[in-house]
Amino acid sequence: MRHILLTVIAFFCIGSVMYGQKRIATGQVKSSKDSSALQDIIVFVKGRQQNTVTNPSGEFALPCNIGDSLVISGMGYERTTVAYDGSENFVIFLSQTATNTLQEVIVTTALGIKKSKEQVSYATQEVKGSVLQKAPESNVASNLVGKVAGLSIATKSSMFESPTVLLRGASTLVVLDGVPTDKNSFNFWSLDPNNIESITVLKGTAAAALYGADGKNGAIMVTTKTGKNGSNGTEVTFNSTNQFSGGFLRLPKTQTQYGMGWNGYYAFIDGAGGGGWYDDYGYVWGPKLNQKDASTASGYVEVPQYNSPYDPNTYYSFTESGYTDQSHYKPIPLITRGGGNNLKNFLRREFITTDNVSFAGKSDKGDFNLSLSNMYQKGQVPNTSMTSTTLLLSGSLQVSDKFKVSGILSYNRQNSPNYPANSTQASGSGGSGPANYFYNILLWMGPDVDIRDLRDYWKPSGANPRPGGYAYGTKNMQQYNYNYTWYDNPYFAAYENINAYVNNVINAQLNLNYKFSNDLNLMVRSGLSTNSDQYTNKEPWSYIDNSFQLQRQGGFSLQQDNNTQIVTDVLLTYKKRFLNDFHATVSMGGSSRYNQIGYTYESTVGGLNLPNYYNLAASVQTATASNASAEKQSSSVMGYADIDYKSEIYLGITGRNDWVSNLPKPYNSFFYPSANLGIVLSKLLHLPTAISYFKLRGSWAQVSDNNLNLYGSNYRDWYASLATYSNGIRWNNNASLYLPGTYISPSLKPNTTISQEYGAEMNFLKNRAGLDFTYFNYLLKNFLVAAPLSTASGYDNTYVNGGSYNRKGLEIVLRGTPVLTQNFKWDIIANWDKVHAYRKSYYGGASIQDGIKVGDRMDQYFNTAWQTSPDGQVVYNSNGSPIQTPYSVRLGNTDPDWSFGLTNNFSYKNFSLSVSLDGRIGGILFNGVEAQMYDGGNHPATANSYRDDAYAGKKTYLPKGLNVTSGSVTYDPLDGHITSDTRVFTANTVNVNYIDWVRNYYRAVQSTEIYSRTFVKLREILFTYSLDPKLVKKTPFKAASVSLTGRNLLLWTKVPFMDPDGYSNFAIAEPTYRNIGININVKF
Amino acid sequence: MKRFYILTMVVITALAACKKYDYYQNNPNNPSQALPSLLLTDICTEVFPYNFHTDGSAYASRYLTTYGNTLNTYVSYGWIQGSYGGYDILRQVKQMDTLAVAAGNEAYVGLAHFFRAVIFSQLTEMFGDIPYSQALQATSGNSTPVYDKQEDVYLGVLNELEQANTIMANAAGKNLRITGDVIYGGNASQWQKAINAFRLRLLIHLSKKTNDTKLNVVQQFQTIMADAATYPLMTSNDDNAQIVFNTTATSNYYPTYNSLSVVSTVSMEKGFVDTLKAKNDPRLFSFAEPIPGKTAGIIASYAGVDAGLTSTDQQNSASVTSLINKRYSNSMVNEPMMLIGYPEQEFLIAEAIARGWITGGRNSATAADCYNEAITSSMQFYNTYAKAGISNSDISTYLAQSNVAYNNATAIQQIITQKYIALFVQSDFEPFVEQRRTGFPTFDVGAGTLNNGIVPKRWAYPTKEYEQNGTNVKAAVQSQYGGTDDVNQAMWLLK
Repeated sequence: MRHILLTVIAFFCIGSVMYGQKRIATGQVKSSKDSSALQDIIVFVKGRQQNTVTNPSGEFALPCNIGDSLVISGMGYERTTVAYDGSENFVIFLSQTATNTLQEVIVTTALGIKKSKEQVSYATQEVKGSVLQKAPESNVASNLVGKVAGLSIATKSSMFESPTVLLRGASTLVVLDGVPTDKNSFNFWSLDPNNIESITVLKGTAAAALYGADGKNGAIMVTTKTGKNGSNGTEVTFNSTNQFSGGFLRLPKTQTQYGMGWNGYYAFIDGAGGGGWYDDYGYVWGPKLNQKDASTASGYVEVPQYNSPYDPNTYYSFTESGYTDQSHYKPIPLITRGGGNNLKNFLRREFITTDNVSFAGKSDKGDFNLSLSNMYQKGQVPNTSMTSTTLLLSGSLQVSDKFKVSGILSYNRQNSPNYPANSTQASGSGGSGPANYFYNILLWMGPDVDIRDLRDYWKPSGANPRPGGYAYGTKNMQQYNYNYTWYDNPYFAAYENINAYVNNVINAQLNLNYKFSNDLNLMVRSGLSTNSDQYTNKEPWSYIDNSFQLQRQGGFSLQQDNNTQIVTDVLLTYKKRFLNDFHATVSMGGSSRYNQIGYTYESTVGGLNLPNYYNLAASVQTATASNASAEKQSSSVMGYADIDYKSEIYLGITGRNDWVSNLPKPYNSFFYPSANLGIVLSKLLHLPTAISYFKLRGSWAQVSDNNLNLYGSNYRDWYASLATYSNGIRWNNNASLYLPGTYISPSLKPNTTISQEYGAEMNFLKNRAGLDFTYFNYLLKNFLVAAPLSTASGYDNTYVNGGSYNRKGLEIVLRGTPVLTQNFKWDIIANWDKVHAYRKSYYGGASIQDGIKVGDRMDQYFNTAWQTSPDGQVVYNSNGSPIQTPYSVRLGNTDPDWSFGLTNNFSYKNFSLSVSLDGRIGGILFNGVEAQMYDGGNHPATANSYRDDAYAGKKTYLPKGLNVTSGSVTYDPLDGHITSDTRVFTANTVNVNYIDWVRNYYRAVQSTEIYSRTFVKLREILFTYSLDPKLVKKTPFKAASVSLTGRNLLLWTKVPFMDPDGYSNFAIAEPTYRNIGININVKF
Repeated sequence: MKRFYILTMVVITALAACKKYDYYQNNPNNPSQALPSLLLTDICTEVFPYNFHTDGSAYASRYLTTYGNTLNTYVSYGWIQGSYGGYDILRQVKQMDTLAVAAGNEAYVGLAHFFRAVIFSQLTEMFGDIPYSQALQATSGNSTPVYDKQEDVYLGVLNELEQANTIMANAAGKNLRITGDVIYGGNASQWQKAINAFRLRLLIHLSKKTNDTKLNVVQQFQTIMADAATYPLMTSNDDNAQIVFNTTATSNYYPTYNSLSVVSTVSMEKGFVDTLKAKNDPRLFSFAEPIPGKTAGIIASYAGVDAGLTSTDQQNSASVTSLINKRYSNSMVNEPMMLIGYPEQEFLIAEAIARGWITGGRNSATAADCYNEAITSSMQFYNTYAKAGISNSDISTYLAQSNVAYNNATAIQQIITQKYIALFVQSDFEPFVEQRRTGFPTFDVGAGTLNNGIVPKRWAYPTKEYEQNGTNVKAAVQSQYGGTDDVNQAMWLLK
């Protein structure tokens, strides 16, 4: 980070004045506000490469001629062009821009209240909607990566998979135009980037305390575009982006030399593993491929294979490794097929197109905005796609001088006729199992399979029926595959196992504003959001799902969820100046919030009685259904007061009290206080002129959750304090109930967050550079802990409040303009943050739990490991097997040490270039995908001569490591650290069977697959050409631009096979790809 | 003032919703009220033995074995702590009892006593002393119950069985409805039979305690056998206390149905198969698959895997031995699972006669009569539920064999061995408990057996008891086992 700061400062030194012209113009630049002299303002002569910078008295001298146009520009001021008139006392007044001085930067704070940035004494950061619109990803959250210090977004590669969004390490509230969304139902898929005016992130608890419990982890405030920022009259904007996959950031490789089978053997006898040639065994530890055999027609070793011609009347003889056998499947050459590119051959070129047209306008009486967007994504998995369509209507009307009405109505429909089953959206998928295409391809499909041969995925007629299976030869009955016991044909899975999704989202709000006087204002706002989604799963006959059942007769299921939320806020605000130097804004009001959720699920049982008939009526057994619903009401009073003294010291306090329906009295009332204090030192003290602005700020807040959050599922959470029976098994049509094992005591209290935050904002060199620094420390306490009881007492446990931890971190935002000339401008914005959680106490006073001591970071990762010597070498026993630690040991921390985002914007004349990098540095992950590839025999490193030796029964592999000659080692059972070690070592000399070793070494423990999760991504490059205003005038357009876009262009990481950004463990995700595209934006 | 009036009105309107507070304090997804019948159904599915595969009883009793990278805990006899899961069922029983009293339906009260007797006796037979008199009092403030002596637990549960029989007799007399009864369809008289048969089982379990003057084991057995009117007993398989699997819901299927792991890795145990083969037992064909490639229905086609072997050796012998019959994974229903059945009851009476507790069974039946009736009804059980097709002449032939025919000299061994065969994947750990008491049959142990190669006699108390009820559990361990809570200690019952 330091070098960036140095670079910034170095560029400030540019300011050489050029001489050599016959006439020197002199003048002075002053502020239009108070006529103060302005330093460091750049003055240039239009059309020439000459410029200068004003001195501390605001004066400049520049060679030019009378009549030349002088362009005057400086950070924080509107660029102004004046004609040089030759006068001696040539004074130019500059007015401040709306965006670069803190007094005039407007921040959207809690409840949608707009305040000047200087009034706000907690960390906030804004992202303009325009940066989200040129290369939109299908989920707008992905476009926010690296843009806000403290906002961590882990992006995913599978289509329709939600990125993980964490603010200061916790999930946060999203607020649409001042109205909080329901955190359980809101997702970023429903947000159309084209409609976003700006996104303001309120990072801390104090900033969002007016939202009560929902605001305990800050808030992401989304402001929708309205017509009021446009010009008078009507403006039509068309924005379109087309992006397609331009290669992969990470494409896992498999070995290409060994086929499927076990221990060097493979032959397709009956497809059921009955012949002892491992035809259904499932591993890729089969024979070496491409071996010459002069005795066969092809010249290669020939054995019966899954794709061999089948003749029920012929027994073909074949010989492999000296054994002769017979099969109805004709022997064919055992060779590498498909070039070992099965994964690549399976995937399609992904494509996203986004189009938006909007009509906006305004007049004295009001404004309106009408916008229609459509986003279509074609997934890289065949037969997957999604569409998201958004219609937005918004407008306002000044009914009278005192009364203003405004409203927003948006409708979003997401529709996916089939999304990838490996996406975490899919029920019961996303993990490691045959429902995941990549599980079948990467882990268990040998290079003797050409995936393109599987494209016709119905088993052809005339083939040998699998004993106990279904008749082949009929469409919709039996898939065709390389293995019929454990895996699915990926094409079959993609084209026949259908996961469909539809979601309809409506957001509406109405705002009434009544100005009693200039001092007194009443605001009433009511917002409704509702969404209803439906998931449909069609599982074909012969499909093997992750439950590996014997019976494979498909299935059909439907799931519907609906959520409704209505929030009404009323605020009466009074502004008053008193004692001359004090200014106060006091606001009081109330809020009401109602939530309703519902869920139904219906499914066939025992499969479908007819293939390809997807209806509950097709259920073999009686179809099953379940439902759940929940309602919650909360009522609140709230208020805030902002007081400032001479615009030098700002104090803000907020308070809110909720009464909620989901907890028993008297524990259902919550008070959430917060306070923030800001001191503008640059006004109070005389600071060096290089420091143009310096503000210190601090804030404090206390917020309790108003849900118990016991179950992680909203249906029960809202009733968690009620002791109820649970539905038990339904036996022979008799319903049943049982009492759960948790004793619900009547005095449960939710957990509480107490936050402190301290920060500084500094601007330098006439606001040309800025630094924003924040330290925060949250105390989270009173968690509900399941305190165990003696089971003999009749209950397993009871909930009690206890335990606490701290979450603390740093955030730094740096911005600057290293270069600013007449035609060229370079802006940098850099975000840096770190956040960690530290255990403070455990319920019951324990000093250590799950290996984590009081005071330690909570993200420590414990798992099993091979025993190692002090210098890290693996210890083997006398049989040549590595020795496992007796307890789980600490393998590292999973959270990154820090993360960053860096955006450089360059503009030259009508061209602009934006380059964004981001990354997360430090932390570890377990690469379960690689471990499974070793296990299955598909890892490229397993193709070696030791494998041939192992097939021949030879133990030739010498694992690198040590043997213990004497002494012993003991481990602490609580956290696995070594407590004593008297071992004496010698180099391991025991040769082992390579296959036994490799499958054990990489799979039995996790320590061999731990990688640093550090990565840096070149996230975005945008290259834009805006049509010259002169040229635009000759067109029907008001403005036009065209951009070349690139997203996710490069990835630097040491993690093999997977993109560490969004994945770890056994998640076998789609390969991450880069997107290249073109954006067109016209206004007319 | 007008302004504040508006504000006040708005706030009041916003708060008005709170009036409906009680409405929201009502969970629409889970009821806060229940009926005893709804709990009874749940209790029946919990009390009746449910899954021999996952609870390990069939491995511990050496009917079956399974092998993977490491041996199953029950195959290797490597268990240490047992589970207090029985108390979770007792919580339901207590709640059913409370609701039944409130509803005035004493039939459920009688059943509550029966279920308490079943679960408390199973718990004490696993561990030794257990919390009984002070158990289940968390809601009334006692979450550290004292441990009762095993003798006192037996005294208590035998007394509860007496009460249960009396209450159910009254219920039968009054024709009380017992809805939710998925075992006997609400027939209180049949419940009486199960209660009394179960009491015979517990008395037989106490065969080493016939001198105990508090329990009066023999006298109790005599009293029951002497009074058929007061103590009805089962008269055929129709009276079996058993849960019948059905196809109304997937959870009602036979528990191993559709299991890829059962169909591929669960083999017959050698000792059990050898016992059946030595007797040409036709039930073997209902239990097992033939060795791969051999003809079904011929005794020589079957062999078991020695569960005492190491995992690798078991795996190696798997290809030349019998898997469990495929019907257990292919059929949704199969045979019911018995808590206690007619065959077992007849074996219990036969044993009491053989031990001289009583001179004969009901209707002057001899020990041999009861023994033969038990075996016959067991074979008929498989005819009914597994299409075993064992004819009456097959049964006669079987019973006539010299190593089957009842012999006074080897009566106990024969009765227990035949009861062992009749309880294949039935009645949970009952075969194990009876082997522990009598030593019959001998269970295979070997290189794959943990616990120093011996069959454990009990389970250690759950770790959680030491954490949450330490004083009481330690006192119990001290008084019974000299302070050592391990699996090889002999509890009072076995001394």
